Amino acid sequence: MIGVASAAALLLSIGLLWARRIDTATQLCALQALSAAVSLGQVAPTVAILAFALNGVALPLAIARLHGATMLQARGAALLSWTVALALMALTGMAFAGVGTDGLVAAGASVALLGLLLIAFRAHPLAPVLGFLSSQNGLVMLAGAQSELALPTALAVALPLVPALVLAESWQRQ
Amino acid sequence: MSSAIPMMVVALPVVSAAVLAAIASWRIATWINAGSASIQFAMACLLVWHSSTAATQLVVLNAFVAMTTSWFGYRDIAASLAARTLTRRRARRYHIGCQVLIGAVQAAVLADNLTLTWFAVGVAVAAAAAITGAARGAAAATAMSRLVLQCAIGLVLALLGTLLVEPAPVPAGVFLLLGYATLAGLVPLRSWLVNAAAEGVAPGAIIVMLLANVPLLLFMRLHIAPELLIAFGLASLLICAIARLDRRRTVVLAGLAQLGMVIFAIGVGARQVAWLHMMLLTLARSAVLQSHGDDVIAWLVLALLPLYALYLLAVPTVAVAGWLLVPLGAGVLLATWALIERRPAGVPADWVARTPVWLHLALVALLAFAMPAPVAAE
Repeated sequence: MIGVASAAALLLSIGLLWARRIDTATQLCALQALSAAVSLGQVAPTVAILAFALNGVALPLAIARLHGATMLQARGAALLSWTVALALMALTGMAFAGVGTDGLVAAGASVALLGLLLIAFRAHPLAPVLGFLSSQNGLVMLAGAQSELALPTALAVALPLVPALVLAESWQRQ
Repeated sequence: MSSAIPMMVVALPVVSAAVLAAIASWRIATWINAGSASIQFAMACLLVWHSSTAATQLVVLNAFVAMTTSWFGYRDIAASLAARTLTRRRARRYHIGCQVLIGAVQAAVLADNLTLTWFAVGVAVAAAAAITGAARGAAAATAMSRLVLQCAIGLVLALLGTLLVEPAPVPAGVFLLLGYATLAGLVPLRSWLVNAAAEGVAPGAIIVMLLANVPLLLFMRLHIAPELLIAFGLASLLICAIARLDRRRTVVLAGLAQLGMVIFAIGVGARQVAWLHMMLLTLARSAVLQSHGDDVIAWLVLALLPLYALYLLAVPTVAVAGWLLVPLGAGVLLATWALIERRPAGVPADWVARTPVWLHLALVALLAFAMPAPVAAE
């Protein structure tokens, strides 16, 4: 189950990099939050529910209320973005190949880093929020790989401090 | 944070921020800000008296800089209000941001858990954004956006590193270094700190730069590969020393170049030198910024600090690899020259403006010649 959920989250990250419309990207992010919550669910169900409520429902709704332009403009050549994304996944896969079970660490780290790539390769004002939200989902998955989930760690992954900060800045700029 | 004093050091600024949120008058807010910072400094002294460690000494340093900035920043706030670069509402945001930032930085220093430190740094970043964005104008808004974006990247990488410490310690070190170096304003994402210091409200720049000391303390505590630290330190030193910008940005960049030296010193195992240089740099940089870059003596002290650090670092560097002295020496000369080239003509005539500068410089001299024993022992 964890393996399927983490693979789904990784595929959704790739989908996010392809997405051309902001509403599609937001929905993909919400689905990814669900996958990430499923991978965390077996370790800490309450934290997983809280993480999904905030990362998969509250923040996507806030993004939906904010966005003006609908198209996610690409920044730079598509070939370059894909090369960088594939290289990043390959490197992460190699670095974390033997770490943890079900490939959760490798998938979580890949999702977190691909989220940062989204910020670099999309020119929309809300692209950073989506990118950080996707990264947060990767961090939720990584929390699922911890042997024991301490309260500070649970809060750090369940509360989307960074995406919320970037969203607040975008809101203020608007 | 086991005893009550550290808790009070952290809680006092948070309570002050809550009080400041309800105060409309900027004059009263300035007094509350200064009073709170002074009480916090007294408590920080009590804390270091109680237990003198690297963390508690950094708490005292932060509290001292915050206190002098809040006392002598009054005139800058008044001037900004008169020049309409600050409104009363924005001044309130600035004061609240200052208190929250100081509290968060102190919490990050005193926290004994990596995730708690991360949380505190996250709050400090939000407060730094509020302080930078308090100034009116497009330049300040852009500086705030850049701060939020780059620090957010740093926070994500730092949390990624924190979560990887247990399952994969080696890659964790890389992410922690990249993340926290970004939060210290070092390469590759250094522009946020330079812009925040240049475009924000004048005294705010000094407070925002206190944030940079937290990652350095972490680098001393964490087990990061020394080769990485040396490479990162040298890259920061050389890149920041080469840049040529206006006077205020030059001060910030020279400070960042010297932060690179601190990381280099940690990498070569000279933690004592790293610690001393970090403290001297914080005080000297604050002195220059307190004088708005108009005091030639403060300026020269900041310019000569890298040479003093080079003298202290020579032996530990040679012990690691002699050739490292070449890039280190080149970086030091470039950083020193960048400052000397842009030095101001004299000292401010106004004694009130000179007071905090001389206070800071006196402490620089005291620390440089008589390093506190616990620091030397660590």
